[in-house]
Amino acid sequence: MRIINTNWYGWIPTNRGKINFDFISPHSSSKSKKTRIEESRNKKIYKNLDFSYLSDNNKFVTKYLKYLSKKPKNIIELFLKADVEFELKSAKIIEGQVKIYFEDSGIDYSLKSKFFIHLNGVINFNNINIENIEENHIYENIDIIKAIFYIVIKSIVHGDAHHHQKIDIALPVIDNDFDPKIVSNSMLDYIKLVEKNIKDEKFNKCEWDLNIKHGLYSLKGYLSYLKSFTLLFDEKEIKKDYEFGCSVVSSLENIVSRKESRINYINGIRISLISFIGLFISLNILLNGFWYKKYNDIVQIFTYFSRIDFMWISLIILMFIFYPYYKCKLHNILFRKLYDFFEPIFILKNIKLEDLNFIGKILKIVFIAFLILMVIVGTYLLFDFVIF
Amino acid sequence: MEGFIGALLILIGLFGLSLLWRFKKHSFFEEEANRYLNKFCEVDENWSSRGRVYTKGLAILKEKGKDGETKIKFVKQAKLCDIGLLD
Repeated sequence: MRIINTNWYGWIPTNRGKINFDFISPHSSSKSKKTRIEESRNKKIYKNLDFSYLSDNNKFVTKYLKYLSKKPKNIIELFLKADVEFELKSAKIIEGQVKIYFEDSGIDYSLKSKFFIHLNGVINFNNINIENIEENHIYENIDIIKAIFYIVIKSIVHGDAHHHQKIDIALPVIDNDFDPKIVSNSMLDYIKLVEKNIKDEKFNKCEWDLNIKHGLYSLKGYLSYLKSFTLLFDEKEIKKDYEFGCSVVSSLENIVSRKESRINYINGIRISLISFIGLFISLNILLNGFWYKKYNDIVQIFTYFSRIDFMWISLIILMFIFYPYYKCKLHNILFRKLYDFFEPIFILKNIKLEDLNFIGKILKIVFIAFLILMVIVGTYLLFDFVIF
Repeated sequence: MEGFIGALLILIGLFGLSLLWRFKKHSFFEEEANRYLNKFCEVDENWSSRGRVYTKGLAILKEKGKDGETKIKFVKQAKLCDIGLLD
């Protein structure tokens, strides 16, 4: 075992302003069948936690899309696991140690570190013990390794707010000494980044409606943590960062509200128009006395079969009218609720054919050809029905 | 009935195509998709998110040489996510 002498800090978000030992618990995404948990009043031990999601190759991409990729077959990815211990040492300090490791045919490649969590959320890591890993790998990636240690502890103490969080770029790790200004500045940069991304988008695209609103709400969440941070570390520069954050979020809120009011206005016209036409037709049928066959033009003019045909025609017209609306809703749901499926779809949509292997090329072409064929066959059936 | 099936096929086909077929080329997304699928999301120091939201990661790769010897490689990763994927 070798030791790398290093010291780094981070901040674990707490909106209460105080870390509660009782709330420490791994997120369900880190638990597996092999996970072992021992919890008492002052001590918590978690073994075999699954942190495979700290790799940006999500499981779906790694497991299934690998059959379509040009990755060399002799390279495989090893995923991270962690063992963590927490001990409530005094009223102000939680001590602990964390071991992150990746198993491969019985060899245990591991990195260990000790940490101290102050109840205001400041976490301090001391040294890295390495086993079975060459030191140059560690030195080359020291920044990301420190971030991984921090994220593992942060996700257990604070919980994962982000549904597909890897290493959060909003909260930094700081070498040598804790400087609260770096944390507030980094959170402010992140708030501005999200705001810019939302503002850059074409607001008339309804496919992202839910995501834009979700982005705004998540920024409000970040802002509330920045406020707690401001209260914990009472410094002029940090207060300034919080005020800037408020102004960024309120500017975004303004734009999102403007978009929403425009959409509501257009939707109001649509709904009133649809209601008007619907009521006009139904009232006419009602007032014409559709129950008396001899007085009812519709019943007299159309035969039983033509009435069925017109029912289908009206259904088809409504399907086309409502298609853009449901397409947007489906797209929003797919992105927000089924993100693990959205990512592979994003890859397949954007990847060039030459970047796929033979099976990938064939599959993409077959998929698209199949969809085009669906549209052609559908058009043929529709015309056949309308004309004859 | 066949008219209804026809309309259904058209709409499902159009929705599927909107998900899987990019009508307008996006060269940055093309590069990113290639990086995700073929290069373990690896980034070098020059990689830029072009002002989009992203996450960082670390991949540990095991490479088996022709002589049977295995090497471990650490790969720094980055990936656009969430709002950063909006287009």
